[in-house]
Amino acid sequence: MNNNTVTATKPTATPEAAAILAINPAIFKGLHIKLGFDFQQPVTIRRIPAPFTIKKAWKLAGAEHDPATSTAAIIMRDTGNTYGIYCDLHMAPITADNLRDDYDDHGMSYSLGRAHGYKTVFSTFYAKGTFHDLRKSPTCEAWIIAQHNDLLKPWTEPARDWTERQRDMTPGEHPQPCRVYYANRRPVYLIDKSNYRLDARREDLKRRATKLRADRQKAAADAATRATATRRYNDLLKAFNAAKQRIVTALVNVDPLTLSPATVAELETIGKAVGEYAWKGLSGAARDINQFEAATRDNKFTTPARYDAAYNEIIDKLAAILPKDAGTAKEAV
Amino acid sequence: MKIDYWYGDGRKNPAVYADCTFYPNEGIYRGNVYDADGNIIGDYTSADSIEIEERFPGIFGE
Repeated sequence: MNNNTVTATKPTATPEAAAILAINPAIFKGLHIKLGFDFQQPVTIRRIPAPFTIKKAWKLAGAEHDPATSTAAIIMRDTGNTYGIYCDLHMAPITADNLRDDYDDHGMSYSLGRAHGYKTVFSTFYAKGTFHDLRKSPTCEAWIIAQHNDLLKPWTEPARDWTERQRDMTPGEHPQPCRVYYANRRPVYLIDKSNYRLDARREDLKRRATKLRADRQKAAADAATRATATRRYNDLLKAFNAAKQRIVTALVNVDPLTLSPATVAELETIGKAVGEYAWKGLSGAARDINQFEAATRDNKFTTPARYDAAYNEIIDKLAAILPKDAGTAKEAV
Repeated sequence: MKIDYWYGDGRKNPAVYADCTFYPNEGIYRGNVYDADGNIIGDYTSADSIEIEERFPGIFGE
């Protein structure tokens, strides 16, 4: 370390560094964050007598600092004002236009400084082109800080533990396990993924899968029950129609005055079967089934529970109407 | 499931459908609810996607 070297933690009190520290110690941190200056490594700090030019500033930085291989910043402070200014002089050749381009990018350092709680922010030039005013002002104090590019260290945000964040929270503050800083005045969220409640998501998806499986099984069972009921209904309807047809045929063909005992017996059998099948009930069930099917087709059942209720009602009605043994009933007809 | 109707209790203008996003930091689902005209009329939070689906059938697609 030479005389002009400062460290980020404890800058050496060279007159130049001390003067900058007097403005605001945060300037060194800002330089580290914005430009990557590593104050653990040799850094050249020189005071620039105002008014100055960029060329003169580079010259003061020393022959070892070439614009192509070094990064430099200028800090300025005008009398009566307490703001510090730094600008990246890394882009060689250094011209006023280069500087202006860099100023446009300074929103980041401005906001960064504010986000980190610095009271003095690094002024930017977007309000008025005061860099050149300042540069030419005889009352301006200015310093150039230069470091070789090989020594620069990229700035990384220090990791922060979530528990530490919680400890810092004031009561009532919304827990927000992510840190925010502002880059070019847009918020950048640094999300601590360890705080993701993925377990909640996993549990929910598990519940959901279980329910879907149960629903699917129930639907399959319902379909099977319904197919059986429909088949039974169709068989019985067919048997009933056949019986009806036989009654009609018998009544048309038979002379009532010459009814043989066999015919009477047959009519009695048919009548019994018809009575058993309950024509009225069957046609009622047929109407119910038609209505149910139409409602299903038109999505009238808004909830599964309503569908189930209507379905069970029909099954119950059908069970009440139908004979206990469909095979026997068919033979009876 | 808690629906916050922004312009009343939703009886006059009930929510017809909704969107849904899982918020991993809180471990809950959040979303906006829409009326029949497609206007956002409120939002909701719920920890249970089944509950959301029962209230807004088809929200998660087929």
